[in-house]
Amino acid sequence: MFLALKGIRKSYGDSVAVDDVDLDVNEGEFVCILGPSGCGKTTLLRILAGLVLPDAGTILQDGRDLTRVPARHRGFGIVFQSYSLFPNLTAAQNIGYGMRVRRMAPARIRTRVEELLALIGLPGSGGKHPDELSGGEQQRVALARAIAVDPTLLLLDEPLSALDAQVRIALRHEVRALQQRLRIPTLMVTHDQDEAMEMADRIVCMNRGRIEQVGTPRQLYDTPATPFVAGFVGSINFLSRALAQRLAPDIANRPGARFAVRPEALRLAHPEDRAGVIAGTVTAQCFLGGVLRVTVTVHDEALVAVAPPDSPWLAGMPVSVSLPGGSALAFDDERR
Amino acid sequence: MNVAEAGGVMPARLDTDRLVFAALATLVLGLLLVFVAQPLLVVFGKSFDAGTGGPALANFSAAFGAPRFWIAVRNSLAVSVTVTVLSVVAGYLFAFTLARFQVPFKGLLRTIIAMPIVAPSLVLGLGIIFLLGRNGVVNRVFGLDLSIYGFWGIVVADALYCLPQVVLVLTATLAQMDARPYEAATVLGAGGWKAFTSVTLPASRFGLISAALLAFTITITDFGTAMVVGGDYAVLATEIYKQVSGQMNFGLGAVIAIVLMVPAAIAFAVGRHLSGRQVAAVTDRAVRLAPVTPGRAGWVLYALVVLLAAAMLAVTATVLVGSFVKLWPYNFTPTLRHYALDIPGGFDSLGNSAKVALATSILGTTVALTAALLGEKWKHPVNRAIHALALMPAAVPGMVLGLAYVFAFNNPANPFGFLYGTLAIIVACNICHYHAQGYLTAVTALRQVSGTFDEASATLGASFLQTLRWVLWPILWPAAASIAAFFFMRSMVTLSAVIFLVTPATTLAPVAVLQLEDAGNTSQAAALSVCIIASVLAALGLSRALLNRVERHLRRAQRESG
Repeated sequence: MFLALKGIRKSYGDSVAVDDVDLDVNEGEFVCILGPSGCGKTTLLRILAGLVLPDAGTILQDGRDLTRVPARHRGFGIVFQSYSLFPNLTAAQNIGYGMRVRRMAPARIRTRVEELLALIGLPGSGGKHPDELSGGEQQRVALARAIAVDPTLLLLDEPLSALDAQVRIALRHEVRALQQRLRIPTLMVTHDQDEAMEMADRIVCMNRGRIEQVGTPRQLYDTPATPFVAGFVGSINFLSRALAQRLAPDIANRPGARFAVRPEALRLAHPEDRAGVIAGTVTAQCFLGGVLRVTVTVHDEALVAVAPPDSPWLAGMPVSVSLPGGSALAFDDERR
Repeated sequence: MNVAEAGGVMPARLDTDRLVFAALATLVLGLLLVFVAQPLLVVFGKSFDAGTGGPALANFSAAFGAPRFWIAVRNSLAVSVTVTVLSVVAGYLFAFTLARFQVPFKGLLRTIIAMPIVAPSLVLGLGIIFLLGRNGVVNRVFGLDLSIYGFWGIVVADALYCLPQVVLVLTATLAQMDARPYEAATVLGAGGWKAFTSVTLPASRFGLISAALLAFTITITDFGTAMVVGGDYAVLATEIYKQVSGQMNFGLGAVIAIVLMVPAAIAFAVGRHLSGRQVAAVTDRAVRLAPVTPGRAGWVLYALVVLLAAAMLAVTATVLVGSFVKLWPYNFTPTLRHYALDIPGGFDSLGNSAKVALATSILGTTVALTAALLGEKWKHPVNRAIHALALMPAAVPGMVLGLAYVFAFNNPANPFGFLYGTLAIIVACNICHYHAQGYLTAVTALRQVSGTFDEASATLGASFLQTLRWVLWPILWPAAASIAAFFFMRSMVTLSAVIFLVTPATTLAPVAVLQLEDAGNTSQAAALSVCIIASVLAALGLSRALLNRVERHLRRAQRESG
């Protein structure tokens, strides 16, 4: 284990931003902290960067206590949502900044900057100022600036959120590919579940200052630990006990539990096709390109299901709903 | 590049940033304590010191029992309220007309109205004497015997003097105004006047209050105008001077100083409160109000604006003309003889002023920027004390500050007493006098620089001083330059605080103007005033040219090294 956070806590006045968080990051691993705004994920990242001092807890890097080491002595790289390139410096000077701080020879800085500019696909743009670069280009330069000094840990604070949708998706792949090539342990904060699913080795799902679940994207999706994770990662239908008993009798007998089912687990069929399934009515349908999203009402409960895009479902049609794999989710607590 | 060199895992060093911050904070706090807190405490103490071991409130009862004191209070209030109303109405007319309508010569009109900013306040008094005084053009041409000295003289001169600053505040308010409510009102059928009274006027209320407070404070604390055109009309600012300089009645002077601080402090507090609300009222979604083609009413307003500018031009241009003619208004033969300034301290005073202004400008900017940097970049409780002391002088009228400096430093027991009677004490007093504005400008400039720049720099391994040198200073220097220009300009023209601190060897140009005028030598006073204005304009022009060159040079250097 490369980095370990133990019992990190931070509050601002009465509001607790980070509440007793433990977290490990392994060598070469890409970890995403995923959660809604205000869940404390950015505070956690800033504590790790040394920009915020935690009220309690320790940060260990290879066994060394970093908790009270100032940001500039930690040797981490950070990329902000707002790019934060120094506006008075050119792209090349921005990338070379950390090396200049370390008093490296100008010739070596120049060589390294050229390498990095090529690495981020912007060779020849070194002389431009940030205001002459597009958002995506600025964020690439910010990334190059962060990795220029071989950081032991890369911190990404919603790095793609300010970008246009297409640039954002392209950069997801680039950042991930770069991280895998350089094998830098990376911690990224995001509120975008698609981003987290696509880029992370492991996702840390946070809510109200606490970690709800840590796991691979597949673990979080298939076996969410809490209703919150189920609802935040992917879409979900929460079911009443009565409906759950009819759809998945084997798990619905657990006491005091909440039940849920993923839209794609539900199968829709014409009522006459099969017997022994639940009857309902299509109340809405929405064409999303690859799939058709169908809203079905069963006993006053609305369920969302997905169907192939050429399915014939229209509002008002009778429908039968089944759960072929029996893959309903059950949660022990009542928290949502 | 190997990891250790790149700083992958650095050994924990002594944190130099904390040392740097602590040293800077000690220095700034020390300066503020010696040059701000100490004099103000001493002036308070002095007001309770009757000098005879009598009761502590003897000075107060003596002042409050004297009819002369109440006359000065009444006169000060009358003048200040009248000037406030006049300058705010005229200033709003001016700012609104230029913001709302597409009218010709906007730049020229703005320049004319801005002229008093580069001149000592008593220059407008001189202009009014040239025009309306005993031997003024008006009396001479029309064979009248009007007397402008007194209430109306002060009112006209101070109203003109306040106008540029009022216009500045109101123009800023109107520029921030959101066009959308105005458009909504028009769509709902509101005509020009209705839209003005229901939208424009209410939306500019904070600006109007700020402008009114500003005009009131400037007038009630102004000294030069009242000295030149006040005649026997006693106001508080001149009364302090007479009590202290004329009758050596320091205790009474201190009492009047404390009284004078009340309206200034109230105005300052309300102004600070309002400026917070004003900012909160502006959103990034606001749409700028675009000027429209004026209708008949618009042209009437424009005519009034032109008239106002003509009046300002008449008063200021008269001083210029008066300084170049043999004997105003009898003999208009051109001459340069008033510029000989063959009086004691003539040109020396100008040299002293320039030295003081330059030193104030450099040191004042350094102190204001350092205080602002500490407040914004170093999270430490001691910043609250620095912030309070840095702002305090804004609530202290110049006369009071000057008096406080005399009391504090003209004292053998004071370890800094050796400064008394030197140009250095004048520099310190000027920095103190104008520090709050410089400090606030620096704070605003710093807040506009995203905090993530520091964070990005720090995570890349830079110390605070490296971040300052490589990131913050290159972004901040234009703001620093404008703060320096402000300190220079104010130091060249100020009279109220320094009047108590000058000696024959350290006299300053505005003081010399006052003395010349007092001696009846109005033409030479005008000539010296023109010299002051010319120096200010030259310095501003020079610094602008210098800044442009530096900027071009920086840009080029960056491109070459990039």
